[in-house]
Amino acid sequence: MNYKYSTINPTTNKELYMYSGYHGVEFVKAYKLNRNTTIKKCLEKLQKIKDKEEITDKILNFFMCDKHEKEEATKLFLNLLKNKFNIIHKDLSRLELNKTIDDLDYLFNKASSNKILEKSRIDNLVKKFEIKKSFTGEISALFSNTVLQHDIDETYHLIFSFLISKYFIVSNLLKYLSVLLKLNDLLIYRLYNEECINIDLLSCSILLELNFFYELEESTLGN
Amino acid sequence: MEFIAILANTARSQAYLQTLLKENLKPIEVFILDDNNEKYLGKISNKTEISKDNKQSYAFKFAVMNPEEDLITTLSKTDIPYTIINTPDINSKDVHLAISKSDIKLVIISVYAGQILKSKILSLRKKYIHVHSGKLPQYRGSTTLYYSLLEQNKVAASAIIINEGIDTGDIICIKEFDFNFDPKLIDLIFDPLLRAVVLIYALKHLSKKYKKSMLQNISDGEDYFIIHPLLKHVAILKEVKKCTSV
Repeated sequence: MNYKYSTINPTTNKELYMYSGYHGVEFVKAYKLNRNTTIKKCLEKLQKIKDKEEITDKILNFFMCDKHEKEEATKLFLNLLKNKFNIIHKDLSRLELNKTIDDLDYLFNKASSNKILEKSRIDNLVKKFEIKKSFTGEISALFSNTVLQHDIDETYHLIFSFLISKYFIVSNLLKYLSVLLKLNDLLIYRLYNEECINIDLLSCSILLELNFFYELEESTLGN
Repeated sequence: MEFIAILANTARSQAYLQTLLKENLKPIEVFILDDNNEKYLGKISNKTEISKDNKQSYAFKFAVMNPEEDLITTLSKTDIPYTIINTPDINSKDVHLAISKSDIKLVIISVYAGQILKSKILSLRKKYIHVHSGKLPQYRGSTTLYYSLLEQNKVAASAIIINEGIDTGDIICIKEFDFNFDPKLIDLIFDPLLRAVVLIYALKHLSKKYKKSMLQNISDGEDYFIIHPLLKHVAILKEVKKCTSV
């Protein structure tokens, strides 16, 4: 069977996840195939980019491990995001942004220095994503360059992925894993149907999600 | 105790109505929301495959449901007056007009997925009863039955008086149960039956003198959004595994 949730655009199909059907273990297999195939595709793309050899090797190593190294993958994700964060902030510094972006920046800075993330702020971001699926939609008119706009939108989705992953590790509440799965569905949809600029970051996001899922699968279903 | 019911044409409404009548709790009047569009989620359509035995009825505790028996068929066996309102929308003018004509204060609500009551209908000074399939305030929002199964190994439902928030109204009663049902039938059979059980408890609770509803502390608990299908599968597979290992 096919895993359909990364082949349909959730921003235009608001009922995508409602009353989803039950397809047994085949669905779980289809999900894993979807994620593994996507990481392989990301690796193929990364291998073609100069200066990405070291990162590609690290992602490949995590991917090849039977049990992905959660802490190491989180560190790699954070380091890559820090670089990206600094780059986009040079473009953003002259703009007046919205509260959601301020919250994402604030929480990312806290997460970067390993400080506790406020639940209320995380929950506001979850609500924003679940309803709008975008953090930068309201400020899209500020950008004349659509590639830059796309890059910033994608980067904030990936920052959100990192924050949610960090918060899930601490809280173990499945509502955060649920939102991470939906977020990665959206990013994978864009990889195949639109554009994905930050392939290395997307790989980290999926690797962490897979790691969380394998742990849940083992503790719940015992395999 | 007198009450009316506003029922979307869904499995949940079927369970409510069939269980109410079984328990001899008859609404004064029923309003059915239906414009004969099959696309609405939660409807049992001809395409819905529930069971190989289509004539099967289901039960949980004292709640009953025959999915093949639609609302009109159930009502036709009684003398309860009913009106079909040609809209799926609880907030439509037609619904507002119909309810405002009724003197009855207590209203059982079962709407289509994703709808909430807006301020205009709430301003009619009625008490609207909604049964949420989750323990409140811990589990507010969508698909909390699955989250609860995964995190607590329990299922629960809470009857509330609807207010403008999502699952934040005053609590009439909460009931928690061990899950012991076919896990593949959660959405269209078990969830409606679970809510029907708690609806009956709520009506009995309200019929007693001096029994009041409890105010919810909004800062308590969690808001949940619709569960990702992968986690829903894990929840069901976990229960399937339990069934097969017994």
